[in-house]
Amino acid sequence: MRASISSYHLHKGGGTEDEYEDAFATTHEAQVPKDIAANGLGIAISDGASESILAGRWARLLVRHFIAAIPEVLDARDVFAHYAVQATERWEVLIGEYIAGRAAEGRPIQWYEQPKMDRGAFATLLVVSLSVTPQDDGGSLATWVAAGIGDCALFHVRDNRLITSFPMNDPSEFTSSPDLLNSKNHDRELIAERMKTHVGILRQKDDLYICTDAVAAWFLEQAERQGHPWEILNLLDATDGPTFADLVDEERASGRMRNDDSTLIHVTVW
Amino acid sequence: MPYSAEISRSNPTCFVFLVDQSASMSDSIGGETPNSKAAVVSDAINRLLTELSVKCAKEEGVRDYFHVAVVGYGHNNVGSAYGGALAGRDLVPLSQIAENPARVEQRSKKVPDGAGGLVETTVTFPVWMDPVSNGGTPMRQAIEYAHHLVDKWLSEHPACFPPIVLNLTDGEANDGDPVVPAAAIQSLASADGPVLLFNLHVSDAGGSPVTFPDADAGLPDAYARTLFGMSSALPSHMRAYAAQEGFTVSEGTRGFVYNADITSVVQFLDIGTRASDLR
Repeated sequence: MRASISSYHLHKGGGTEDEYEDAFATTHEAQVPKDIAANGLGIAISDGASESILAGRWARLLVRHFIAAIPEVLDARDVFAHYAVQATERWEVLIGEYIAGRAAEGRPIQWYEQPKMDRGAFATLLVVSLSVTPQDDGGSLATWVAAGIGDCALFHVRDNRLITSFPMNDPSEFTSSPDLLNSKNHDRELIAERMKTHVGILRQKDDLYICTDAVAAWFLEQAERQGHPWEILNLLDATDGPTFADLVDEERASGRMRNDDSTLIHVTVW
Repeated sequence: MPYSAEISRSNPTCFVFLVDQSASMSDSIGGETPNSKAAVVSDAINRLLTELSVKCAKEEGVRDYFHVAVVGYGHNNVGSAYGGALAGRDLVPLSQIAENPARVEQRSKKVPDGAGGLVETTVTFPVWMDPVSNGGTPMRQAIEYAHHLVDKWLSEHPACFPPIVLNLTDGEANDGDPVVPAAAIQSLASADGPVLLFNLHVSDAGGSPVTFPDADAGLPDAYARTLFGMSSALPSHMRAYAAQEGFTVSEGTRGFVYNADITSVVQFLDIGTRASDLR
């Protein structure tokens, strides 16, 4: 079984590209078909909370940290939580360098930044692994495993039907207060308890759409209205199709998609 | 749905704070650490500006999601109450407010020590305005001044989240009934809904502090009841945040506070994903 990945992202309208605070990482290069049976395939996606400071850096650290730990990071809840706490230790080093760098530039941390520095950075995270396992009968079973904190989402489409929506099923579940990983949260038990996991069986011609909350809420709203949002997203892969920026700009302008950093990873299996 | 417009740099909204600076504000509010009403409201303004600045702070600076005016009324005058470099200005982009406090004080504050007790620590306290108390209470004029600012803002930002006017006073207006201009300012609207008028009443009339009530029954005097009656109902999403903060709310809950902290109103505003701890 083979799979290929396409990734798309766009910063929030009215901001600049360097203010994009989502992050994503994959174990394999985009657009290059990959045999899942050999080494599996992994994706990590994160959305830095806009009200926190240095959220984009924290999101980038999280995806880099977790992508390097696929597939074992998905073995158990306490393993995932262990990696989350380990990420906070790496963050402490990075933040120390950041503060020193700001001072060296003559731009020390200001009074209005300090309370947010004290609280740490916040981000959601979703980690997905695809693998093929040999079975006793000589066949094989292809699966995806997902684990995360917060409202990054995975949609599994088969035969033109949405068969799994994880972790949200209803667009109204998306709020401005999702669960978040905090760069100062060392509570392994709490993270293990609050994370959500799901396993799905993969078949040839399946599609997975992994996205941050604005795209996810839009996807579920379109699906709820009996639409097939995946048909629009599949056009992004076509040479004569719209660009992701075209699509997102149009949906934002119509009010169908919230104006927020937007990220989509499309995995096609065949 | 009203009160759902994005608050962003490309679609900012405005706050107008009206601060009573009349002679009666020199009276003490009472309580364990007696403080003049003027000191209570200037501290409230300085805390509100601090909270707003921190809320909108990112690593590159404070983002201009809000433009804020601080208007003083008293001493036979209505006008900007900013001190320092912002003196004389009306609506100021939040980034400029954050960069230009008149001074930054270090104040001592008692904080939980994690073991059930309190420990004294030093906190940074930026100051944009100092307590002032003299002359009459031209509240009616002040609300009309805010009306002018908000009307102009709305003509330039017709799709913004509705502006919020917050009046901090002991309620003893002496230039006529403030109810009429209060109703007039609440009749102004953006495409997202009518302007919100909230009131913080500081008083030496006693009674328990009241935060975001839905009826005037428990209020101590006619001033409090008038200010309650002038206050807008909290929009539904603000009520939801108030409930999350532990306040009892109903559909009639109003943006009114009696002798209590109103800084939490800043947390009722959505500027993006909130940074909340996992629970």
